[in-house]
Amino acid sequence: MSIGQVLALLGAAVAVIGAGMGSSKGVGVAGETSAGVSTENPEVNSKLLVLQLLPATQGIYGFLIAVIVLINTNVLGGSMVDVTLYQGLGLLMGCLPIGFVGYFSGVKQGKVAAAAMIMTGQRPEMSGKGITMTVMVETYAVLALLVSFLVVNSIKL
Amino acid sequence: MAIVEMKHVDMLALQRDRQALLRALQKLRCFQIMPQQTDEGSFSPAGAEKDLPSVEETLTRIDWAIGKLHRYDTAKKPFLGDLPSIDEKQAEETLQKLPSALLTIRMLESLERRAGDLRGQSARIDAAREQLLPWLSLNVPLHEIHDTKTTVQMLGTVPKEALDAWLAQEKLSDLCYLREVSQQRDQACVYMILHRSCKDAVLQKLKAAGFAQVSLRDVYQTPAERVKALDKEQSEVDTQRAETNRQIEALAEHLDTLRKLYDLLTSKRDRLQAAKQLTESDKTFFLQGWIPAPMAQKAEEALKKVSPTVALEFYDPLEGEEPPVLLHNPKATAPFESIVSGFALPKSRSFDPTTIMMPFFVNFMGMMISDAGYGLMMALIIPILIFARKPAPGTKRLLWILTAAGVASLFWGAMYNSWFGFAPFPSVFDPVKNAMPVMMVCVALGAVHLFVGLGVAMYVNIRDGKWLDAVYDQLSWAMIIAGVGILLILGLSIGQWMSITGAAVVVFSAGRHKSKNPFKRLVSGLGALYGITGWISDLLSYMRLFGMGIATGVIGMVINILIGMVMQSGVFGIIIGSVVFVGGHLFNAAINTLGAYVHSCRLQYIEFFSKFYEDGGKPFRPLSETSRYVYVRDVQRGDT
Repeated sequence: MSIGQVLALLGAAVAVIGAGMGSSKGVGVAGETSAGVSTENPEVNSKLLVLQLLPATQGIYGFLIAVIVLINTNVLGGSMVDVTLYQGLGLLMGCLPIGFVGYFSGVKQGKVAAAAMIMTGQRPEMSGKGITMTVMVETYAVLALLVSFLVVNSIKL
Repeated sequence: MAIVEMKHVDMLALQRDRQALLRALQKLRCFQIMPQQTDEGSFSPAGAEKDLPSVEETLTRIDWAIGKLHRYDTAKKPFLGDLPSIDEKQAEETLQKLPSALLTIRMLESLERRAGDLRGQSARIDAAREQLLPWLSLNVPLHEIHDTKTTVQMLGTVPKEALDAWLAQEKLSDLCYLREVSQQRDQACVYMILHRSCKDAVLQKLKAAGFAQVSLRDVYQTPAERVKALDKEQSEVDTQRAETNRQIEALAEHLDTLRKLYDLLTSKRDRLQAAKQLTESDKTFFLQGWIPAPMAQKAEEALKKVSPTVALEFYDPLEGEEPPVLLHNPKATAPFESIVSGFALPKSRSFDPTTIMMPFFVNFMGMMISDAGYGLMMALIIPILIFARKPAPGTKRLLWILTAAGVASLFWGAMYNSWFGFAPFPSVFDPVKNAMPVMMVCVALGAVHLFVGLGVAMYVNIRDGKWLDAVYDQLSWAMIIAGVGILLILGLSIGQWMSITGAAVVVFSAGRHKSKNPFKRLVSGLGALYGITGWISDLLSYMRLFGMGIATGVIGMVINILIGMVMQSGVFGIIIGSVVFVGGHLFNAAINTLGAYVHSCRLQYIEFFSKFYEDGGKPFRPLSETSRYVYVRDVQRGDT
């Protein structure tokens, strides 16, 4: 296995690990809050579910980028193609945005979602605004996903 | 279309028609009563209805009973189904059942009390049993363990180590006998007998070691006998509890009636509360409120039928008054009202964006779901669900929105060539292999969206006769952005001049409300020009259409690749693969539809609405019937 291949795999790992950790934390915090708010006000439960799912997307974005790396290097096909050192570095760079931004935006989005849940519990008619607030955080994960995607896809092997 | 025009309405009627009229208003569902401050002449605020407290109390009791009986409800809630409905005759009959329902509630109350008592008894028996368990091996009736003339007998617990020490070497006293009866964790339960002469010395040592005396003098049996007796008692209590529960469960058959009564009585309570807001004289009462202008005539006819002497006067809202807001749109776009009101209702004299927003909302959602297979399934299955299950209005609205998004997703999925993650056709507009054109289209659509927003703001300004504002605030920005676009895309220098003209207008006009000082105006104009960064970030925000779009397609593709691997391993592989195929794509469709919905909302709320929207309308809340459990059909209106 060449160093380029290892770097490519490292990139895939960073994307999944960073974004996945962010989403796990975010969904976790949101879930705890959801449980608390539901005991007080069970009727808003379905609205809370939407809020809890919002921080889950970062993990999916990270997974997506990792899979594109694995497809392009034909790991999924069974035999990894040869990757030069610079190609490998390029793939790693491409994975960094979603790995890092995914982590932080996942965590922060979870916190906003939790706050929005408390608001929804007290004033169910505000749930739309709570969702909007929470979605704001996601913008940066979407931008990171875009850049990661463009970089990873631009490296021709 | 748009925000319904509201009329003030004054109503003067005879006292004896009061209840009938209020009922009629409640049926009409188009009359919002407003509290009155005026006490003109002989009119005084109405006294509290004497029925109100008793109705409220009954309601609380019914609600309590429904809550208690709810878990014995055997009737399954239909999937997506709407509430059941009854006609007025049935409603009348249900109200007749109130006394028997109250009897049911009284029965339930006493049963619940009994259940509570039994629970208490059971807990007491448990506690007594628990206390006796350590002493089971003592074979004497416990009340016989007492002091005699020369001896002292005691039961108690002491830390195990201390007991071990006493038993091993240093005896407590020569005149003391100790026996360990049992051990509870690190405490030993001991029986002891000692001579009175050494009582004080021993007691002191015991106290130092942490001895706690246990008094069981009131037990006149051996522990084993007593426990047996308690067990028997417990099983009797258990039988009684089961019996009580059965009786409570049997009452659940009245649940249906109780629920209907709850709704009917809540409507009555609302009516009585409404009556508090009116003013009255001896023979007449006076009521003020809001009514949607298109309903005015119909309401007048209906009320005249109830009471021919009623006098109604409709007039336009006064200057500076904020009428409540009711949105009304054509059938095709009406479901999207919920998206607007989910943000905030528009101000009463501004603009209802529902209809103009709808094509953008659906299109953006489709671009973000962006799988023709998912879109096709949504567009086919959801309408069938709507017609088959007849869901409640709120659910129905959401389902129609999803149907529309499905159609849009079918279109964009076909463009992107993504069918359940497969790419069966030669691709024309492929976001994965050739991203640039797709990204351009996303930003271009965003520009159209933002320009429409500006257009709405212009329209509102012009409608309100503020021509100059339209030029200063909207046309100027349209020129700047369009100019930059022309310069960058077409390369024509006319774009440059358009932008500069627009920018000049902004610089000189933006500060016009802030100050009369021309220099200060210029400074705030330059500040306003900085808003160009907002436009850039707004435009880039539409890149999410692309990002979310590829996410769906690529995840679908990954699911297919994984399944392709599983499928190769024989029959089991095919079975597992099929299950994963359905489950995986359902998950992908669900999470992406949710994402597409919230992001499409965001693009409306943040990017689009910020160009023109004036929020802060108060919702129109007419006096109406409560439908928490059941609808009451109105024969006259021909409801079904």
